[in-house]
Amino acid sequence: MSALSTTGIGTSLRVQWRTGRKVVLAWVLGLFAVVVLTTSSITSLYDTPDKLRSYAETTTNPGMRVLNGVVAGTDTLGGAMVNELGFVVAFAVPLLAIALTLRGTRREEEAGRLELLLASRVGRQAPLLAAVALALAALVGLGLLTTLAFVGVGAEPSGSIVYGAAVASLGATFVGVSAIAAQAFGHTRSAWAASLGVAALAYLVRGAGAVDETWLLWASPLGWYDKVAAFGEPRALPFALSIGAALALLGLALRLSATRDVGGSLLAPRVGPHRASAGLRSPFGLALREHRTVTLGWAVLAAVLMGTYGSLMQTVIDAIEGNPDLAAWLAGGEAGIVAPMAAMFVLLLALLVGGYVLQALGSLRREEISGRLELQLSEARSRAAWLTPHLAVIALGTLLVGAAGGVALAVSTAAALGDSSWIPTLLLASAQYLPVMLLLAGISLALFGWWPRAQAAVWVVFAVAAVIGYMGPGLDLPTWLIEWAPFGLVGDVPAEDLDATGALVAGAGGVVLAGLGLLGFTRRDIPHR
Amino acid sequence: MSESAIIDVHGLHKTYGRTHALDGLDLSVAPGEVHGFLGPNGAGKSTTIRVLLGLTRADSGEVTVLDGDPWHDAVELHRRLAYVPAGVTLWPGLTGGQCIDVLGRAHGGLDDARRADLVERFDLDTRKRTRDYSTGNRQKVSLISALAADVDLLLLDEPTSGLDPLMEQVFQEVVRERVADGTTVLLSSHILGEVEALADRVSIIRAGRTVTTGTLADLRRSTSSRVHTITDSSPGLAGVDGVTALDTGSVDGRIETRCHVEGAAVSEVVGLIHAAGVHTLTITPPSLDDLFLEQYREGPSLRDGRGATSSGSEQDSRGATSSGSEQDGRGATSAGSDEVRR
Repeated sequence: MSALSTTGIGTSLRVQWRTGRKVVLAWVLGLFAVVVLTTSSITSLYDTPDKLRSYAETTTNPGMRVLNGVVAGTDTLGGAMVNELGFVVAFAVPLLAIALTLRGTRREEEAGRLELLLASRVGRQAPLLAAVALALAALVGLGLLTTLAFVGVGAEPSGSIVYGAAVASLGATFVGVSAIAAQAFGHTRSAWAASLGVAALAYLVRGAGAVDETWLLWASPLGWYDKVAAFGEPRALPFALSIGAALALLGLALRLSATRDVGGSLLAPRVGPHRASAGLRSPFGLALREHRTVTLGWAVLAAVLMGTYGSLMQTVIDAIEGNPDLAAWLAGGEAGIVAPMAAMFVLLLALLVGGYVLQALGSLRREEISGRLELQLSEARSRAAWLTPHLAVIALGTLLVGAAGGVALAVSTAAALGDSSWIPTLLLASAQYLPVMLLLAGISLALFGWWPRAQAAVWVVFAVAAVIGYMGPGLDLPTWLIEWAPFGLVGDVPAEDLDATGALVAGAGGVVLAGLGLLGFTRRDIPHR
Repeated sequence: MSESAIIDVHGLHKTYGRTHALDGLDLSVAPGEVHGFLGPNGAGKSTTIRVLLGLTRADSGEVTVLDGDPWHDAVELHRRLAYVPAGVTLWPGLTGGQCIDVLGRAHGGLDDARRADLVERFDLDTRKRTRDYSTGNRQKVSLISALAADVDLLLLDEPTSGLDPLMEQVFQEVVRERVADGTTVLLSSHILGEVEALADRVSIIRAGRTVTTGTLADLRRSTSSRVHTITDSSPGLAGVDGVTALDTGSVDGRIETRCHVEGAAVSEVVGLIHAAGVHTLTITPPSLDDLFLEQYREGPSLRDGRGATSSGSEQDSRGATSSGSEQDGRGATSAGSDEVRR
């Protein structure tokens, strides 16, 4: 085994900071913004010990604990904020750690830039150490900012310091995990998938342990993060476990990096079949294959999120009813709370499905940029014959993602409320957003046909429409704007009846725009400049 | 020629914004020939091929491919041709073997025996996913799927980028076999050795225009050979028509002469050298590199329609040792492309 070579770590750090500072700052400041939003809203909602006590009672619900973990001291301001941040921190902090670590390691190596750097006077382990140092620094920065945000709104200072440290050390463990993944896998994609898999497993194990506080909590980095109990009785052992695990993983990653070739990986890439199956050779089969991963990913995401929201319905109602102020604010009793909330969840599902539609249609332009479109059109097949199977697969994918989310929402809501009449209501409401999907698809296709370089601009339309649809009522935007923005066209289903005119406008507009797009696509240069 | 030509292009124009990608390009490819299509990066080679495929519509000019109009008859024409693009990104998740089949399916499927033969000769591991391939191996995938198809016309756009010399040899063999079967090939390249080895005729383009076209023998005849000789007395070449870049010196009391000689003047020059008492004599015929570089050096005069070999070569007279003129060549090429930008 060769010795570690860490010469030039300063150079490596400078290079990574110069090329990655925007990403680092975006992650840290973005998460800090979420923390500040949460702390300020919790502070204004639960401004008396009584209100905090009633909040603390809702957190003993096992369903809530599966999502947010076992949070100590939820009857304190700090504890309530930790509980509210539970879900975000459990995913966003590991994601930050993975993103920043892989950015400076496997991504650079796969692109061949690492080789370039190592050819100068930079030691082989210097880039790995620099990436780790940068990710850890970002985590420490995030921890400090979190502590400041907590102290700023009046949380107990010593608990706030402990919590900030817990956030940073949770991330450190995942820096270690992704540093190993960067050695094991040859492609950034695979290293990401493996690290994300570990993060998801840690979340599930913590959830399973949190239901009735079993030893399983000690088997997950997220369990250690809970066990720190910043606003209860803080412990040192979980810290020792987090930091110890991080150091052990980083040490192992360094040793592994010394035993392998630059550009190589510990796991050999998988091999596949020699020949394409008959299915893959058909245009439809190839399109199916190309959209498969993205479609399944969105379908699982929609099912998990919608299932979670639905099953929380009763908990949220209890929480609102337990809080006299909120209950008064939402006057109208349980029915008055549930219908608008169901409408909001259906709108969220529509946003998810819309995101899928735009991402899937965006892949058509990527097919063009990569040169594969040219190559396929040099075959004896017209442009329309290339596009049609893709549109068919994306249409099926839209139905699949919508159905996965719609069924999960309908079934979990019905189970949580003990009322099966919600199943047909929510399924119908989910389907009633389909004309909006058609409209979004039409805009994307029209751009693809006539002005492909600007196809991504449809995301701006989507974002504006999403903000108007989701936050419009809260921001007190004019009614006509909310009703005529794409997501408002079908009406606030199922709280209100379907706006048939609006649905027709959206659907017909989508079909016309898609037709125009197809016309443009058959007439333009490929690749378009 | 136009009647039976496989590819016939006249006065092709294509503008992207303010860039003239094609500026009156002509190209004629006869049945059964390998036609070398030469030009530096950005000269318009790929744009021309995309017009031939009906992917890009020309602003003006006439284009006929296999007796059809590529823009209107694209689908029918594509049954009879196969295309290898420059630097394609294949489907990263498919294996090389899957990609070959997927790409080959629309040429009416590939000839299985030929496919197997090519996979073996190009030494390609078809079970690897293309994201794990090197550039050269990715290029082999496009090549195999095009060369295994049973077609009348192959459009190859820089087909061998990333291939090692061994694979380059295999490529040349396979192209020769296809041509022997009656396939016509348009070979766009800037690897001159490859074009020299394969092409019957070449067209050299610059800034979207055809600068010269013809067989290699034709082009050689109009271009200077390099002469190096050591003689007892001075051969007196100064002032002979067709002699340029003359440089004399002395070696061990004898006269050393280097110069460039046009085809027409060779016999007169050899006579003079012989009369001066030959000690050593080397005449190097122009390589394709020389032809290419010479065309690029001569841009302005060619546009005037004169064969401007002499005016162009005068630039060389500063130092005409072989290494010197190579450097000059490079300098002249870049000067040429400056002008393209203008």
